[in-house]
Amino acid sequence: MFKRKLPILVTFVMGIVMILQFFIPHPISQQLFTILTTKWLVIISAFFLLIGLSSLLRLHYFKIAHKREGWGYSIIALAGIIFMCIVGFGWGGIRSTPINVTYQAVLVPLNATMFSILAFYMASAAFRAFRARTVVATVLLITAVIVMLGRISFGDFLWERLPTATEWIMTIPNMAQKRGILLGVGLASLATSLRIIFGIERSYLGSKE
Amino acid sequence: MSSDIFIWISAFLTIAVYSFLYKDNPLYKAAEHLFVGVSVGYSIVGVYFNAVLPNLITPLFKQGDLSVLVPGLLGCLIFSRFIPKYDWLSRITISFVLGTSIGIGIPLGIQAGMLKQLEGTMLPMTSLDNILLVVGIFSVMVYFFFSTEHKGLVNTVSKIGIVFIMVGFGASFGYTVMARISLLIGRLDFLFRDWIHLIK
Amino acid sequence: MSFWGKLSNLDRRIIFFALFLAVILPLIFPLGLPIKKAQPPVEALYQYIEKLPRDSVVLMVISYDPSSMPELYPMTLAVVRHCFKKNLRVLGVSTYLTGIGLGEMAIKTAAEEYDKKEGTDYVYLGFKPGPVYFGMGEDIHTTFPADYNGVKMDNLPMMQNVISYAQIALIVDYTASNSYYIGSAVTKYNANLAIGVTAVGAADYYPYLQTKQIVALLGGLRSAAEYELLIGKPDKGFIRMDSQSIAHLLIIALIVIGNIAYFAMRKKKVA
Repeated sequence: MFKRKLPILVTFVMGIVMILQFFIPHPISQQLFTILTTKWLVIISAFFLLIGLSSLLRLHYFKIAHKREGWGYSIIALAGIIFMCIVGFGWGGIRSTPINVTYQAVLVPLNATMFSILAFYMASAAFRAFRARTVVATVLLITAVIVMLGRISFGDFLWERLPTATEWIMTIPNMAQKRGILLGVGLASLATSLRIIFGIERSYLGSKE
Repeated sequence: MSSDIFIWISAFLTIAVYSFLYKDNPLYKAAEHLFVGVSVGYSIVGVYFNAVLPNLITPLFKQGDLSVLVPGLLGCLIFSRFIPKYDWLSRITISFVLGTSIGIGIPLGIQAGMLKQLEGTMLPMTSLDNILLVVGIFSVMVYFFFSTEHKGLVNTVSKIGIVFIMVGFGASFGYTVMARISLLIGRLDFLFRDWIHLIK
Repeated sequence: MSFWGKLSNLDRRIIFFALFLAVILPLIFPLGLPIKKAQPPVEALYQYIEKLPRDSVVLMVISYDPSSMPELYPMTLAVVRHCFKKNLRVLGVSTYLTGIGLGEMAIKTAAEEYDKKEGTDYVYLGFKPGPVYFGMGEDIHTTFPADYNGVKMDNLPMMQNVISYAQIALIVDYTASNSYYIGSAVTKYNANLAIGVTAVGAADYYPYLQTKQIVALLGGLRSAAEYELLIGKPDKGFIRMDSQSIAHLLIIALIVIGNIAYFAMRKKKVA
């Protein structure tokens, strides 16, 4: 029973303590905040990162061990992990030349290229999917076109006030929309946070045991 | 063309990823998995040398600072997730971090995300821009209020809200196009400047 | 199938190739399209840094990884160059593991150009996980016992009097998504914050600009290009704007043609 009750109690206590801490200017309260943010959470976050990374390691290892579909590619992934760890721990850390070279030659191009592919699919979607079917969709497309033209050099040539019009769109109607959503999201986040602190929302605990 | 072997490796990997545009193929999959592997390996090394070593191991074992023992133990508890019989212990660490983060975040979130934003909305209705702003913010919030049926006055205000929402989405879309194109420019710039030397 | 029908079903690889040409041709054959004026949110950062007294400390937070590099790296480099040109001191930190190298590269590149010394004119702290944005507001020396090279804080002349945000004149957070510094550095510690963000997220920060929670906003490659022109050092941001312009025109043309084809097909069906 305490396997679920204890974590809920910890969440409640820490949540309430840190909310109250905000309003208490006493040195002990401030020191608590300092210790938690400069030491404790930094150390614990490192372990969170490590467990995320080791989970990926386990995933690929089990794929290879049980010869699941695509296990050949998992060998490549595992080889990459092992290579970086050997080079990193064996050659003196994150500043070593082999790590830096691998970072520049492999990690940077792969990471950057993965996301740049989206440009092509966006162009395809612009042709096939962005339809002015309704009045509001037309408003969306016209705004998008104005913003796209206003943010390039041609905008100045077409109409000298186009960049100003674009900036007006960003600072007035766009800002109104973003703030409306921000306030709504803020209220929803507050509600969810309180639900977690008071133990009503328990999905973070995982399975029922 | 470049004579640097590492530029060639980068170029080859870039083209391997772009090969997906033609169709899914083993070269792309291999590059994708290599990316995952190298990322994870780099991150493990990075976390150890940037966080675990200077903030836990050095203070604890070289400087005798026992104050890091408790967060270190809490951190180690998270690995109990790999042992089914004791995986509940990891909940303690998760709860600690969650409770602390939420407790810190609530007052600051209210202040920065709500009170300041409300303050910024209280504008003198002396200009068209200010009137539009206040009307826009209010109507957008009414649109997302689903606790009452959207009919009559609520429906009218909600429809005004939709117009502002669509303008906002249009602006976001325009900027998203800009962002995605920029990423593509970056990669093609690398290929044609640093690798092929076609761009001076 | 009619012309519009065939057009609607155009193989997407043709569209991919058209985009490829729209991007690569202006890079190979630059058009030199001018940028007339910097937008107010960009100008605001330039003026803010211009007014900072000599030796003020500016904190550069690298909250991005190589996937956002084409947009954020040019603006990072431009702002660091501006800081060194004004003889300000630069403190760098990364909140993304895979972004550590990018932050170091930007600061070191600019430092070499302006003959700045590490430890005295700039310090790069590297990466730490967790709520660094709070930790640095409390005590930088405890959060980062040493810099990225492993040199202890006590041995860095620049860090002798820099303990927390109170000694930092401006924080510039280059982020690919949300900035945690608004809710922490600005709200709790009254720090001055400017945001450099990818174009995807730029629209989201205008509410904070209006409430003056942030002093300035750089959004996307265009802002990077504008800042390069403001400091008088056009670089990759400016060079790439030609391709950006042509690609935008292509996207607009695709939207217009796609809609014309759609309405033509619809009219035919109704008829």
